[in-house]
Amino acid sequence: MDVQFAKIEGKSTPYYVTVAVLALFSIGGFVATLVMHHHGLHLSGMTNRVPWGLQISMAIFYIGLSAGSLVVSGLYGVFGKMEYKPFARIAAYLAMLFLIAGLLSIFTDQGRVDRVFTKPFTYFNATSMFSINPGLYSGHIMICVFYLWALFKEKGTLTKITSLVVVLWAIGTHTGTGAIFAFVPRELYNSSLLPPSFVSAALSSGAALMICVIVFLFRATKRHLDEELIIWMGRRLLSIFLLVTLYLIMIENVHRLYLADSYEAGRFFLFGGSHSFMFWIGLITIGCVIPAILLFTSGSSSSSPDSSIRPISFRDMRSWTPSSWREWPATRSATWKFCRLSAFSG
Amino acid sequence: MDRRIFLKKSGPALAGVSGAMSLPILASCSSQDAQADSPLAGKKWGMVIDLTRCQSDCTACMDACRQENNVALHGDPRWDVHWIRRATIRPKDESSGLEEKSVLLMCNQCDNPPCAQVCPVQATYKREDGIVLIDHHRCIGCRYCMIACPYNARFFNYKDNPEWPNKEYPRRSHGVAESCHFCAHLLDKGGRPACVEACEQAGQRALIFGDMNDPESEIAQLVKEGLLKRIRADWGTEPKVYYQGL
Amino acid sequence: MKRSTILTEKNRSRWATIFAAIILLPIGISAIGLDVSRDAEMPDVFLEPVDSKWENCIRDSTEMRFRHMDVLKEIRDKVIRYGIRDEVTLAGCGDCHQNRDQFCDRCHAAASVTLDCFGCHYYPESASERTAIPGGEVKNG
Repeated sequence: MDVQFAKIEGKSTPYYVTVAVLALFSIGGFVATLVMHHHGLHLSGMTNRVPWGLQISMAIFYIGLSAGSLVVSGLYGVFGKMEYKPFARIAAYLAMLFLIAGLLSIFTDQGRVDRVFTKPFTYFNATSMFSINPGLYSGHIMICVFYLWALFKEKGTLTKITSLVVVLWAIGTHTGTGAIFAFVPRELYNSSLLPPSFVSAALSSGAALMICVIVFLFRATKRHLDEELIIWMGRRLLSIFLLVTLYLIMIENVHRLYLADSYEAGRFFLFGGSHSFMFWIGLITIGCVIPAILLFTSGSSSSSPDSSIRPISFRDMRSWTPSSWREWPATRSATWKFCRLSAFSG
Repeated sequence: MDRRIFLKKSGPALAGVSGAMSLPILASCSSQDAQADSPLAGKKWGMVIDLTRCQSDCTACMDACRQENNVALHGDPRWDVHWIRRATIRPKDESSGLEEKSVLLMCNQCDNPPCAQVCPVQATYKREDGIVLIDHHRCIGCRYCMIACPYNARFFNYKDNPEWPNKEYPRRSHGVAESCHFCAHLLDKGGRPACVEACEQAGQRALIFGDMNDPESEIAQLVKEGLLKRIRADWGTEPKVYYQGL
Repeated sequence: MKRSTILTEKNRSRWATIFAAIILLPIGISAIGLDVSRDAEMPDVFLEPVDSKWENCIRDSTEMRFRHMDVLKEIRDKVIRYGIRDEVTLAGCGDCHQNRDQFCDRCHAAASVTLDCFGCHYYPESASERTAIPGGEVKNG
């Protein structure tokens, strides 16, 4: 397969319209952020019961997309597969952009934005995942830039070496993100399966993002798209990552239900809580089962409807659920039996 | 600058430079080293909440806390801040013979505080006398401590506090987290926490406060009896708030 | 008809200049602000001792003039981190310098320094405000 890249000229009216619309969004977001920080974070709709809301969820969603698409991009170099070449560049580029979007989302979510760029450096806390992750994230962006440069210059060996680093680093990035939740003493967060399931969810959403972007771009610009490529990606990448994610989530919840210690917490999460429907409908049904059915039953060209569902639903629900998990200990303290008091022993 | 304080200040910065490579070592030594002339050394403050004496309709401790520490009350449960609060716990099934209980909940002042572990700026830390408190000058408002606390004891200032009853103690701006600190500012001056004083004045004496390292103190003897319970000690957080009659 | 594109080889340096100008804008503004503040009238009355329990300031006046922010931060860290409350804190400054308007705000306004202290720490703006509130005698905290 021979791939040719052509430079776009950026002269058409749709191009200018796109730029203008995006600029409007940015200005709106900037103003909204200023207003929110002048009046306090209650404008974001977060409460003392659910302290991490949509912004953190979106940040994790973006970081997942970034890590996922970077891994997909890196696969081109690692395995030297020419199938990946058409989207290796845009995947690495989008990985960079999505990570910046995620970091902006976290940044605007802080209560004291004025201190964010000074205090974490002056008073570095090596035990906090929030201190370790920025290192991973900024490294991620740097590696993206370097990898992009290597791709554009068509450096053979260098691309191969960089892509290996890129894949490992991207997995590390999202492991770190998962560890934010996993390394916390609460039943519904605390699980060593959380980081791996974050990673596999990120990989699946990265593959889905690529399918989306490529299908959209090629159709919008009326260029010829090799359908085989999309089907290959859907069948080989997306479906595998999807099943792995489903498997990890299943193990995590079964383990939780199995142990008497965390049975009540697991039951609350799956069936009792106010957000359980999100898990079942959002994560399991829309996020995993429907895409899986579409992927495995579809013919040659129907992977595109699936790809439009995937990245929006899956990671989003995956990361939305944590914010509702905090409700659990409050509710659990209302339950006599599970106010797990251990008698003081010496 | 005082040399001692300079060393204190530069310690975390050096930790930042040496980075994550030496994580396990740093975890043990970058946090506050023992300070020889600290007035806090050797103390270990703890509290016993005696639920058999606590009246479920009494709000003396909560009111006193708000008065002393300027804890914000907006009248909206979503944004109200509580340093000490009351919760009702019910038996899971009626046949168990257990009855409803009203329990005071507060920051448990853990010996292994998860909030201090996850704070990215070391704004939350454990003082040498075991009190976990927040440096509000440093807090960036990431709310990770609220996620990490298994007791839901941390609250966030989503709005500015409209009230300022105690001008001697600062209030908090919007955008920082806060929780009970055993009235550390009163302890340092030889006093006792406001809730303990208020409880005694209300004639209940349900809150017993003292130095657990002092074998003569009431709390040390109560703890020694071994009949007290701690909430969710199974997480290894080693809380220093004990419950009687839970 | 040929339309011009935004970024061409020719005008690339022009865009680079504009970008650099935007990046450097804050520095320029500060430089101008510094220049303005040099001309602004600086208050010369710093101390209005009112039958105080303190004889002298916590540091000598030269040090206070140039390093008061660092001194305050050192005391703050001592108090918060190590519980050493042996020195006068921010509230204690008000024992002698009762007039925040004169003592803090005037100079900081002239030097265009935004203070973040008094949202949380109580320091009455004028001596009259101090006596107006109940329990206004702010002790050394």
